[in-house]
Amino acid sequence: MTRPSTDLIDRYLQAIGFWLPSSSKRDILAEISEDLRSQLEDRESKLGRALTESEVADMLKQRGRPVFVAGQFLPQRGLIGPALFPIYVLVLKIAALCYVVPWLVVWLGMLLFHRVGPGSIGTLWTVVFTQFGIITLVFAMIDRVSVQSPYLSDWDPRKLPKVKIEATTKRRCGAIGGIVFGIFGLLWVLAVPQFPFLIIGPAAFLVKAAPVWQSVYWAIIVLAIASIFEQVVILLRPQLTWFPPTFKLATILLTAWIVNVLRHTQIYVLPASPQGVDVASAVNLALTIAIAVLPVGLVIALAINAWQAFREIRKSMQHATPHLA
Amino acid sequence: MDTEIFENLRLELRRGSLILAVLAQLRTEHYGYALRKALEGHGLAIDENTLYPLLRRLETQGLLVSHWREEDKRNKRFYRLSPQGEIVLYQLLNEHEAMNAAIDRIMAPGLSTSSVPAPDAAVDGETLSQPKEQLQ
Repeated sequence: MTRPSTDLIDRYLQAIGFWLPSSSKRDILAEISEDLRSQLEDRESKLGRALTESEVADMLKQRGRPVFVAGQFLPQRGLIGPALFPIYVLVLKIAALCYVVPWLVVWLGMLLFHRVGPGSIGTLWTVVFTQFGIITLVFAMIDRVSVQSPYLSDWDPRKLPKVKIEATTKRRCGAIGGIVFGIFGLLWVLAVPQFPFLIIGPAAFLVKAAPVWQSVYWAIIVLAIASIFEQVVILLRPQLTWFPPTFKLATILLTAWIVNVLRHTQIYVLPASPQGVDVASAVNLALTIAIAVLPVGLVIALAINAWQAFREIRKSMQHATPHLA
Repeated sequence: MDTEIFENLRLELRRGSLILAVLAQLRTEHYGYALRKALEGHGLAIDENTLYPLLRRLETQGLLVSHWREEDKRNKRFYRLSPQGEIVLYQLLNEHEAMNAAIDRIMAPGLSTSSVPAPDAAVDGETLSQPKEQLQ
């Protein structure tokens, strides 16, 4: 059973972690965790008994609000103090996501349909700087006022949210589901040549697969097996956060090869009977369009996974950091 | 208002001294909490919210080196002075001594802290000879 003090400390650390950048979160939390537990042990050995929940809460309260503690580890700015800086960054991100990004998407759409010229991007910068300026000004004013306010001292650690399921446990649960679905997927891929209705339903009586599928069939099976393998590794070694994005890079490259082979033909199904001619041409047209668009998705997926792989590998090399407990 | 002015000046004055104290203490290896206790033992209590960001900053500047090691069944991050840190500490100590000597000369003759009318200038219940425990 978890000790009340440990539970409270874990909740406190989780609350601090919310405000920290992901690149250094693990390392900073491990260090704060160690300091808190040393302090706890120290006080307990002096008292000769375990601290009560309320004593631990007092200890955490004395240390400061989670947002303030996190703020001390962020780059210090003259205008906005550490107590508000993490909230300020969060509001800027929300403003960018809810206002600037939609604006950019609309502008790109208008540009593509020649409703505006490229020079109109200047309006975007005006919008961005106005948003940035107003938010900064408001936070600078709040910062001046809040220095005197009881906001920093008047809080209760016992009201902090409960600790969420550990990321590794979550990854393991996801992996179990992934393995089950992966096995079903593999069986389905293996069964399709014998039972084509599994992929095209009743149309299987009207059309049949073109020869091009034979040349990529082995690669599709490899992809299905690779997906199961990836989930098994996540299940057994959830802490290897660099593995999934790195492994996905290989599977994306194999998918790209399949797409490349398929792009060289526009015949994916053949009529199985005279009634199937129209159906075959409709399916071929639909697949030709889908396969023409797929490379865009693959490039985006490749870029995202390459970035994630780079970030995770760098993180695992930088921090040989222990677990928090 | 006077309290606020004094507090700001006090923080400004101690910020540099704190760096000097941390660097000097880390001539021998310490982990965070042990460092706090050691400084406290020398009469220089330091707030943990000040110490850890400071340690990270000094490490980024190359003045400290650190590594994680298990001790007493717990992983702890141990810090010590880097070779570059030793040089900087030596230079800072020289600067500190020169500064102290200069202030002593300015205050002389007969104007030491004990001769300054401290009791009337007591700030926030403290006198100049009783600095606040928690430093920022």
